[in-house]
Amino acid sequence: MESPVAVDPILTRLAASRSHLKVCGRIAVVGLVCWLLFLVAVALQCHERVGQGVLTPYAAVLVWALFGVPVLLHIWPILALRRAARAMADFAATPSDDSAAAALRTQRVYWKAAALCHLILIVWVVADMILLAVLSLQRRG
Amino acid sequence: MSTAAVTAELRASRPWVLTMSILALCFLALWCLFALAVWFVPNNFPKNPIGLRYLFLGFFAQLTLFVGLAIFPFVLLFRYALALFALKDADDASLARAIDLNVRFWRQCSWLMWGAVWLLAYLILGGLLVGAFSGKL
Repeated sequence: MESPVAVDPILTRLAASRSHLKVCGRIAVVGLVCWLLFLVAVALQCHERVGQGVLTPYAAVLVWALFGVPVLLHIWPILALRRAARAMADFAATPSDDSAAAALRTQRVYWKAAALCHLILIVWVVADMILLAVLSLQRRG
Repeated sequence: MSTAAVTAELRASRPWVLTMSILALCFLALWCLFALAVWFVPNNFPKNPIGLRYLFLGFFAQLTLFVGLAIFPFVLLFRYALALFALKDADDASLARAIDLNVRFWRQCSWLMWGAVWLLAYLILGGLLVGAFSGKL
């Protein structure tokens, strides 16, 4: 790989985050795969509980979605992080004004995805738990 | 190389970085409450088989440490957000500070990610070992 030869010494410092972004992106994908496996296990457990009559199908979907929606939502920022890592690698390989701006643009897309993902996630988890509590109260009373 | 385009990109990411840094610090505070509940509410750890109890204790001890260490990159992210708000046109010092904080944040984040890999490996290997010795596998 070519060494960074950016003209502006300040922008050259940006290339130092290349390997760190790459590591973060790769480990995030590994983590996502593990969470997807966990989701499969939760789905199987929910299916079993519905068969035993412990959960209604609606409650089982809500229990699964409590984990499922946040995990699936994370695909969006993780893909954005991978793109940001690639753009940073491009900047480190061929430093220029455009590639530096492009690297930071993809990072901006990542920050936007991460912030929106977590805001939606909070709203979803609260809504899902309220729905589950309502279902539980209905079943008891 | 002109830094105007880079400054403009950094400026445009200000609201999202600030939102994410505040969310990260809030999640950390929530996690601290959860960790307190795990450690202080009695009978949270399985008593039998004994290996499973120590696996759980070890996992939560390391998880608490992991979350404690996450304070460093999260505080750095907040400082990065503040540095983005302090960016001025044609000011090399403020741009250099923002870029340095960006690089330091990603460096600490990658270290934290390796910690997460260790926790995952510990959980899988520990689970397999305890399962094998307790005759459940």
